[in-house]
Amino acid sequence: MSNKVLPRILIIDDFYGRKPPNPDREDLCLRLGLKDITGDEVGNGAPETIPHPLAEAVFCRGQVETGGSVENDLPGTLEVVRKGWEQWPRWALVLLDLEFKTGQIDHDGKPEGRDSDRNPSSYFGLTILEHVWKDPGLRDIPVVILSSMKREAIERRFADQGVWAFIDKTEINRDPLNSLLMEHGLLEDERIIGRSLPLLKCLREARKRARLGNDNILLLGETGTGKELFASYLHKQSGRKGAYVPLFTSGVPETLIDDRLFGHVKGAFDGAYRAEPGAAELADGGTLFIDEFGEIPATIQTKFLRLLDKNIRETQRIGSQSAKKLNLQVVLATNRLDILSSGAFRQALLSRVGAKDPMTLPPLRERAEDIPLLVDFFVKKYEKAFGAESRRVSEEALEALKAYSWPGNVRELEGVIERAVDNYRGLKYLSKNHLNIEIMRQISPPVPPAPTPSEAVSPIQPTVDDISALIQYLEAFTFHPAHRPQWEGKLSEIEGAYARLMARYLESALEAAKRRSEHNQEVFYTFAMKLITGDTQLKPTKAKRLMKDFLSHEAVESLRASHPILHDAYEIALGQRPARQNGKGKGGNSPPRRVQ
Amino acid sequence: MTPAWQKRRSAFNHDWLKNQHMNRLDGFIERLKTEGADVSRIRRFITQDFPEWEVKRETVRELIASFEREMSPRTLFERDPLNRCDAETQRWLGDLVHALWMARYPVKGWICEAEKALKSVDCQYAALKKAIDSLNPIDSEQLAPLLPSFVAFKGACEKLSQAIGQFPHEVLVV
Repeated sequence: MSNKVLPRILIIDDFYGRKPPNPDREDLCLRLGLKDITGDEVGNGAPETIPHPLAEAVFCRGQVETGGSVENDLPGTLEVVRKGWEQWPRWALVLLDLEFKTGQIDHDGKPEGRDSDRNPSSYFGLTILEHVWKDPGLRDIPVVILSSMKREAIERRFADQGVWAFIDKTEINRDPLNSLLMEHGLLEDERIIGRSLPLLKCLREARKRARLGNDNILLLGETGTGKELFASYLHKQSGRKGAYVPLFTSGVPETLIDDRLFGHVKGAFDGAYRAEPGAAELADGGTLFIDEFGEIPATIQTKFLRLLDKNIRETQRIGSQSAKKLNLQVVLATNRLDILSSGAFRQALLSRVGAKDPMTLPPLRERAEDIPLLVDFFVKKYEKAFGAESRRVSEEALEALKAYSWPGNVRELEGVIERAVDNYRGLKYLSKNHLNIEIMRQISPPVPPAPTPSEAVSPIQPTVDDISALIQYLEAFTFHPAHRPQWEGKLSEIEGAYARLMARYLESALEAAKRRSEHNQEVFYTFAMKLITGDTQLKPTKAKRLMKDFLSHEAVESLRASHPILHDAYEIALGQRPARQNGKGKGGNSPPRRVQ
Repeated sequence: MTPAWQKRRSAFNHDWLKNQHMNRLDGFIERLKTEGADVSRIRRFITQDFPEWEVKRETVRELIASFEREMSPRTLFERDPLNRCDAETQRWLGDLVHALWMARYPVKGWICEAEKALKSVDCQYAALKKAIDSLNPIDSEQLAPLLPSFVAFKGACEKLSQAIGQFPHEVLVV
């Protein structure tokens, strides 16, 4: 396996979970290639070093010893399960024993065992399993039963609780455990950055699909979700020795797609000076990835369907009379998430590509916890590319990035980071202000926690829709004498914040007005002020005066400098530029510029 | 109420043979294959864990020998409600259900297979013990040529575990 972080496995077992010195646990770790990181070896020396470990293992006995007796500990066990699931690295797999021996400790130091321990209907392992399965927060944990007990008596019961597999303790060693991890585990990948559950589940599904090796796999995903990366991952996981060949159809003329996909023989058309194989042939023995397969023109659909038919899988070069059999995995992608219902695809094509059972890639908004990792990755990538200073990214910036909905997904995030690093190459700290303002404007700044003594004030959500909440908040805000150190000397800061709030208010109105009155600037500015004041009779002179009030505070200076629309409005308000009439202004007055 | 025979089988087959002995044997084999492995752990297996077989051999021999007596449906006459039958009925009916049980289930076959598996483990153990006793010192280098024999011993242990595991888990009625 090539994962950069060792997967972490939880082993819940009364025998191997006993505290060290526990030679049986050491032997199990050696056998399975596990690095014991339980951390309970205090005073007993470090665990034995395992060469090239496959995974990290945390052992949990699931029991407590009290007064010379051993009893099962369900709450404690579930706590261990939960804690390791909610933090990173989360459990990639949980191996669960069935029979837990309880009772008085005998002369060997082991519990003597009770009848109920041995009864399949009351196995403690199944009790743990039931509680994990019932808890929506834990249900996604991949659990595998690891036991030397007979499975027949409980087969149905553990299947009902979502168990992924049943492994005999005496049969498992390093290789079967690796297979288990690959098949059922939640594993990171080096190239597809992220560790969120939706992503890890998608990677697991990809490994399962690729195992067949010669299937057609349909990838559905919004733009920028990494369909090509996944296609490459599917190739890697298929174990196919041949090449991975991507074919991008978007923007390629229809007439060329036939040639790119199937190739041609010499003399097939003007300029075909020599025979050329197509992408399908080049991928023989490997994987062919066709991005935006919906672009394949109808004129070659018959040929395309023969390539997609797993029983036929043949390709025919342009100008050739014979077809060639291929052995390949075909990965097809589209961002048309409505592929089945859109009516844009032929039924025969849909059934061949497996449209009823696609792999859907999670959009970035559903894996916001991956954003810090992605940001770190892209920051480093572009620092290196631009020869820029290495930097840290502020928490505030990360929070803002996580709050955004990312319609362009990872590609959009990469673009934002690329621009930020490029624009501020010398900085060692990347803050929210350095990120693309177009994005950040969609996320209003969080209101700082107020030192208010009034418990009755409800916290507001800092979005533009909550003007009434903002007003309520401001109205209710008090400066309690007891908090003097916090408000003392803050007048200019408060005034500045208020002035910038008003300027942003005006800016929105100007933007809205611009759409209505593109060519008459006096109408434009007056209309913007009408929008704010609600005064439909507002005169242009008064509008200008109000605009000046909005923008004259020194705290707004930087906003004016960075926002052309505010800069222009301020100059008009000051009378430094005459407002243009009917699109024919003087004195170099430019029409309102769109803020980028 | 779990029959005492089942408890003894579980203690031998599940707790000792599978969970402990075969696991430690696997660990030992892995260390023997690994360059620079901890010699003290290798010695510990040879001197402490491996000879445990000599004690457990008797346990499993007794286990196999007592199966027919302890897991026969005849034992049901020792418990309520069949123990309420008079002694004569218990005797002849007990003999009858025992004979039927022996006829219906491959009891002799289970026993025979387990004895064969036991003998195989025992033979391989004896050969290995003799080879180990001639070693001086006991270290990875000296033990390395014995690796195939230890792998074969593990295979024999697995067969014994399977043979013991195939005895029924409850008193089968006829």
